[in-house]
Amino acid sequence: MKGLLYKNFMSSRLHIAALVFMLLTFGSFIILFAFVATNNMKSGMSEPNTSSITTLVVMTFFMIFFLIEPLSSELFATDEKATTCSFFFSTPQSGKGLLQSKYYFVLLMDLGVLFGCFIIDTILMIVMGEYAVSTLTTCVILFSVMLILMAFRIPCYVRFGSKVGPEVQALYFYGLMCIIVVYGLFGNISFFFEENILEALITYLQSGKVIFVLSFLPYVAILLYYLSYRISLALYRKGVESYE
Amino acid sequence: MNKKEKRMGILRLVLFCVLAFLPLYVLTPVLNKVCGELIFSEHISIQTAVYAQAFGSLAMLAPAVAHLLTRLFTKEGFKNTYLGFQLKGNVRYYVASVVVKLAEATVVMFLIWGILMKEITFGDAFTMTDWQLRVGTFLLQLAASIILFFPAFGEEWGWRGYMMPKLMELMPKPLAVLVGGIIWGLWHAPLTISGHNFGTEYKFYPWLGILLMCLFCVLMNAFLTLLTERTKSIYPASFCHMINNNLSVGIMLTIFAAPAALEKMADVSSVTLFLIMLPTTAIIGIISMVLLMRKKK
Repeated sequence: MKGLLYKNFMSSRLHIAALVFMLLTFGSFIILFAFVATNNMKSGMSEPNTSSITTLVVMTFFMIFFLIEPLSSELFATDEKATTCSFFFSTPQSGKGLLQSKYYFVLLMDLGVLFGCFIIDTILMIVMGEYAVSTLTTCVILFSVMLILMAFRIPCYVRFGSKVGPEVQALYFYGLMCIIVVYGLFGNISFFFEENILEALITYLQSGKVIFVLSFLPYVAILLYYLSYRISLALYRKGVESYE
Repeated sequence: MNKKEKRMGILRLVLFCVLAFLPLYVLTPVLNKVCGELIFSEHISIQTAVYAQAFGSLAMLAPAVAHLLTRLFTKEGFKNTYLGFQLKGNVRYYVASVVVKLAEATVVMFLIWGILMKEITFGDAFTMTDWQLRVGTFLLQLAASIILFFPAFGEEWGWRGYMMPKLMELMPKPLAVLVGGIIWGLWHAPLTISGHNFGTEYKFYPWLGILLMCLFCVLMNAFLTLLTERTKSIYPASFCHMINNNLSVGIMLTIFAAPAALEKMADVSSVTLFLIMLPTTAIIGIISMVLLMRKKK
């Protein structure tokens, strides 16, 4: 397993370097911004407004988390050759080992980004002091969302390859869009009509019902990721036969 | 183990302890001085509280850094790092690492109610009004523990991943657990003096706090060492540590206790709460010690 993880690391090292670079750049930018904004608030040059900084931090973390997505595409595209896959089937770990290593690798990347966000959040707390708002729970939600996305994406890559896979995956998103549209028609979207949409949205998200539903997300994500692995395992051999 | 290996083992252990202790023993007084108050004491400013939280998280990484540096400085290499998951046949230990601590916190909540809130019924003390919010907050807090995994791993990779195996090579297991627990407890001393866990307003401050912390660390060390030794992996102990820090009795109380119960709790000192918790931790520690002495089937 260590060898396969190392292989994955080597084949995606450029993406990982880019990810680290983005993490450092975005992180530095947001810390600098928070530093200036906090100093302005302390000196009375601007009104204390932590919600806009928090929104910016959450948006930054959102972008950083979604940088994992291209990395995963590259990870699967690298081994997408019938001969390479046949070779893997002949090794003691077999195709199962290869798939397992890829699932572990994506999970490790997601955890790595979570760790990066934790460090940035800790530094932000030091910089902002009394104005600090921890976004760690949001990071866990983003981590879970990323894991769910990967859980849907990887089986598509495994079965249809990195060219057709994304198109098949798009079907999921059409489904998701339909659900959102249906919710928009019949669900509670009263926060859209408030004067301050952001604050209304936060209040809505903090209500018991929403928190209760959201709290299941991390556990559902882990379950889906495991199920995704089992499905990929079942689809892998068939997928390899369709590779060029 | 021959004499030379034994001497080398002791040397490595001493170097590791120096490297792990140094950041906390130097930086905590500096931070206390910079903030102008004891950073974990009862009546601190929000600014200091934020510094304290951030410092606490980063300080927990010190043992892991010490582990890494000791291996590099002494050219020990990277064998037996306990970094593998070793899931096969060990899933129950992974489950136990989370469940035991959650069960402990739940039992302690019952004990607190039984001992400190005699005049309040259980239903009044732990109300389930807004149950969706309470259960949701609990589940989110549990999930958010994954973030505390990093600092918890920082401590565990140092203490259980390096110090305990070295101690167990040098002395019998019960003695190793005792010595390891005391070292671990003493590592917390600058934080305890700054008011961590017990505050500063108790009798025999800070000596009683340091003593209780050492006692707790010895008991907890038995369970964490059991998890690490049985699985040969550092992750179950890290999970257990993160649950201990993120879903401690205090946090469970703020989630599930009713305002009346919280009001009652406000007058209770941390030392009293700790003493109520201690028997449960002791039972887990003793059972772990017995299991640790028995050979794995």
